[in-house]
Amino acid sequence: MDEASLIRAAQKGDQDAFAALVQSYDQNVLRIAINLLRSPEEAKDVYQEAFLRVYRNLDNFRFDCSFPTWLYRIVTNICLDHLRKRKVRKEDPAITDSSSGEYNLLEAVPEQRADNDPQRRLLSGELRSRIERAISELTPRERMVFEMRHYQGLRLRAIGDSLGTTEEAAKNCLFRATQKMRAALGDYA
Amino acid sequence: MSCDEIRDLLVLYPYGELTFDQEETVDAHVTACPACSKHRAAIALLHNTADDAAVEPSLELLSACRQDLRKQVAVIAAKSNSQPFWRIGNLWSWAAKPAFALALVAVGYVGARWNPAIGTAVQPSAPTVRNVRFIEPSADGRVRIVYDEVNQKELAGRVDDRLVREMLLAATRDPDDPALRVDSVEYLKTRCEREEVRKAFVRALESDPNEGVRLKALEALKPYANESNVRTALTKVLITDQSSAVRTQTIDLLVNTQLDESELAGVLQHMMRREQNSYIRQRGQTALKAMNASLETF
Repeated sequence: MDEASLIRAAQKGDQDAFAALVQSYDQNVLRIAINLLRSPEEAKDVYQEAFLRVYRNLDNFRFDCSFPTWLYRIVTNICLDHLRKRKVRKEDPAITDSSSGEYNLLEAVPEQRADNDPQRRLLSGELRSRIERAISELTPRERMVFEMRHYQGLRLRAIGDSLGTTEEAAKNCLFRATQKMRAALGDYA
Repeated sequence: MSCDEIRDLLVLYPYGELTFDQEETVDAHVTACPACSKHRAAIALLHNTADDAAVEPSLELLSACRQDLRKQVAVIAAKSNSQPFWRIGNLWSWAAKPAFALALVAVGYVGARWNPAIGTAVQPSAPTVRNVRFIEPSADGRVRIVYDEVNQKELAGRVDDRLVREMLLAATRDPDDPALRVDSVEYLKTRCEREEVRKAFVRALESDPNEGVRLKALEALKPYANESNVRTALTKVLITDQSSAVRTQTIDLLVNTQLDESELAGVLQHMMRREQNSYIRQRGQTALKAMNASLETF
């Protein structure tokens, strides 16, 4: 069944069709959420909230845009809300406390065992931690655009659509994000 | 074009967001301009480092998310009046009266299928249409349709129950959902003493397309590394698996298991001819040296 047929079937209450739609996109949704929020618990919340919103509002989907654009719009809004709340609640540290159930990024990313040179490992760890810190200091919007362009491979136009803005505005966000991260590399670059 | 303009374009270049002409302009400029060339190298370093910092959600997390979503959707569906009558929880509406009668039939049906000896319950649910096979219009404006019907059922029981185990074994072969395969391996691993379970894990280790499933199967098979078919699978995986994580776990297991030295030496020598991963090569070298075997076959 193609995607449009799945959507129509899900709109008529076919739970299997809805499950098939979810499974087409849920790995990407979870990836976006976990990379943006760096917390499995929060990523899980975003996943639930996003797909429940899709489920409740699927009747209103009129094929004015593509399904992934609509879905990512929902996901990005929820993620932005989480990031903004977090910004208000506390500063978002690059390396979070593992006791709170959040990722310590340096531990979460497996070491490349092929690279056994301690000096190179140290250097790459230092670079990663700088980039991590820089990403955590980006504004929610900049962070979102960088995530969607760099990790999800979405076109700037699609990112603009998802964020309810223009391609140009998304491009400017990407410029600013890149500049900030470039600066964070300091002497290494 | 000025250096500032070129540097803006350099941000978009790796993402394929530039036109052919813009890329040509950037290439020509960067070749002649050391400062912009340095800037391009910095962007490349930034991208590589960002790639290293990416987090891939685990299959366990994905599976937990899917399970929670299924539960929540079921709750919403049950509450919704717009659902088909067999899914409605509100038995007081007039429309639900036939559903109540149907529910009684269903209770009888479930009761009949309940097997107290093994404590397993099979619950039928509403049929779903899958695959319309044939459509034939008739002269009176009606249409005759032939379709397949799929019945969704729920099975609850212990892994020791034959039916549950068979379903889990079938789930290890599910072609569409790696999270389901990971979950089924996870549940079955406590019953690895059963030959059919080990066979399923060996098959998963050798041929599952998902690295997470292969790693899970490998972990479950560790206590059985001395068994002939498991050992054969391990040696095959060490040579052929595309994932260095799987090969790393495999060589650790092979080297730490008391295998016949000549057999292990042959495998390791074969591996050394093609292995590029430095950790795996180092493990192989150390093991071969300990056996006084040459590093490669000649």
